[in-house]
Amino acid sequence: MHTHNHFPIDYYAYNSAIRNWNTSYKMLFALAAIIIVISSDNFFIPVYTFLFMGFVNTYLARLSTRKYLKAVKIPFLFILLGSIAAGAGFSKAAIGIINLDIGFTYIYFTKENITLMLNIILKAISAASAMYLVTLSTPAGEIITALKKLHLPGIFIELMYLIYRYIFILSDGVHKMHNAGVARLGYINFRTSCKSFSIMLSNLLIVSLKNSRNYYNAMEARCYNGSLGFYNENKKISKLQALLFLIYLLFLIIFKLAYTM
Amino acid sequence: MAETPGYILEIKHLDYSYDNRNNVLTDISIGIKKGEKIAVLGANGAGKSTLFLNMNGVYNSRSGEIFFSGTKITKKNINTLRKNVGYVFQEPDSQIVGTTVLNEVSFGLVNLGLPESEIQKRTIGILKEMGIYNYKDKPPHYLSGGEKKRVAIAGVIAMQPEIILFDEPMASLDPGNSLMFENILSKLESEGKTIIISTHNTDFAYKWADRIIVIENGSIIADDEPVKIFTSDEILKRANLEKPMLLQIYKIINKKYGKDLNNYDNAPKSINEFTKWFNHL
Repeated sequence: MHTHNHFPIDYYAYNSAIRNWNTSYKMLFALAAIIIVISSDNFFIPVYTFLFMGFVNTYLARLSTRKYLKAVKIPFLFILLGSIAAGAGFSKAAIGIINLDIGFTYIYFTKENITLMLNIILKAISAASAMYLVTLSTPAGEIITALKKLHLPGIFIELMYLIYRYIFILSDGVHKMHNAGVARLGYINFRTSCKSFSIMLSNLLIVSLKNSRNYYNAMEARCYNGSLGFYNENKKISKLQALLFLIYLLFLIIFKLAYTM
Repeated sequence: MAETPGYILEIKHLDYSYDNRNNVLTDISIGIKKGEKIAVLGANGAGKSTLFLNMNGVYNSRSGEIFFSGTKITKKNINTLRKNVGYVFQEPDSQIVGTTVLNEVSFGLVNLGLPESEIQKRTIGILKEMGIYNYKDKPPHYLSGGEKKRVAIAGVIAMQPEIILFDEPMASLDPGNSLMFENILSKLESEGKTIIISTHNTDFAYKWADRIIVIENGSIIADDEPVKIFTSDEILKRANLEKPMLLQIYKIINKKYGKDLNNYDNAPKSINEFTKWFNHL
């Protein structure tokens, strides 16, 4: 197994214990959860969804909590910065409950704004965790197949297949060229690094163009006639998997009732 | 021109060029019978891969004709040729398009427009036959070189071609995987497939093939049985080929024992045959 150039999310997906779940089911589950989270009007639903998805993505999918939190951290950083931008206000007077004096003006946060920010953060991170139900357990090829069933235009489907397949060949090529550069002292200082990197990029383009011809020949050799298609095994939805979605909804309703009463 | 009866694949006076000026292949004529085991030899850049791409119908030459089972191949029935002449490329990575092993092996079958139940039956069957069923859900980028080669071969065999072209199949295989490949070959032979292999390994060509075609600068310079090719110093020199080790040893021993140096009637082809011959000396 080549370990030098794999992308963690792709690797997790292939080794996920819930990989054999029906892809469309996972996508619908995630989509439903995202809609529920976005349309929620309290803190409880996003928190509940985040914990529920965390349970599925780690315990059921057999992914270590450490790796899962690392994956969650990626969107979290963007969400944090984005929500600060949404919540912060500028004023000459210190009118918020938190005020930062940056000389000519104050950056302030009011109580309402902080509530808004928390709301955004919770909803976004919760929606991202629901999205991870699909992305951390489903290889890209299977997601594309599911999109094909939704009748996404063929050109997008084929491009997605080919890009996904060849991105690994490309990254493998980059890795080898980089090593070849390092082996000949191509990266010993900033100047040589810049030069070697630019040579590598142009070389990569030439090699890719040449290879694209080979790939096309190889596809034609097996009767490729302009539409890319593969056979995939059907994955049935087990009762247990269907039950999981019901449990998610059931708790949601119970808590919702308890909340409104 | 008409086809010659008895050939499964016949090429007549084929020229091919990439740029319409310099011929990569010049006046190629070959007749291939069902079940033949042919090795194509020639230096790098001699035109072996280009010949294969023409044989399989990916490249169409402007001059020359190709017949498959007596039918002349034109633009309209080019897929007959592509379906019946399978091509295993030298680099598995340039051949594999599927995102999983199962996907990949089914690719050609989906292109043939077979019904799904048939595709499933053939794909699963070939995966089990090639011993790669356990990898069926693995993506190609997590496979080793030998595994990739097996997947690439499975993707071609699944289409049930009559003729299979292998482009330098053992170039990047370790001894274990080479043995695996030779087992696949003997299985295909027992099924009556016609096999054509391009190689630089003259020891292998001498042992395996029952006919050898030598290409130099895009032309066929020799087309004969192995012993005749490998005992002609002129051909070997022109095409930059090495004389098979067993033949060299055969000659040395014959010389030492004062035997007829030009008699190759019982020249041993494998180490087993050699042992037998040597013990009877």
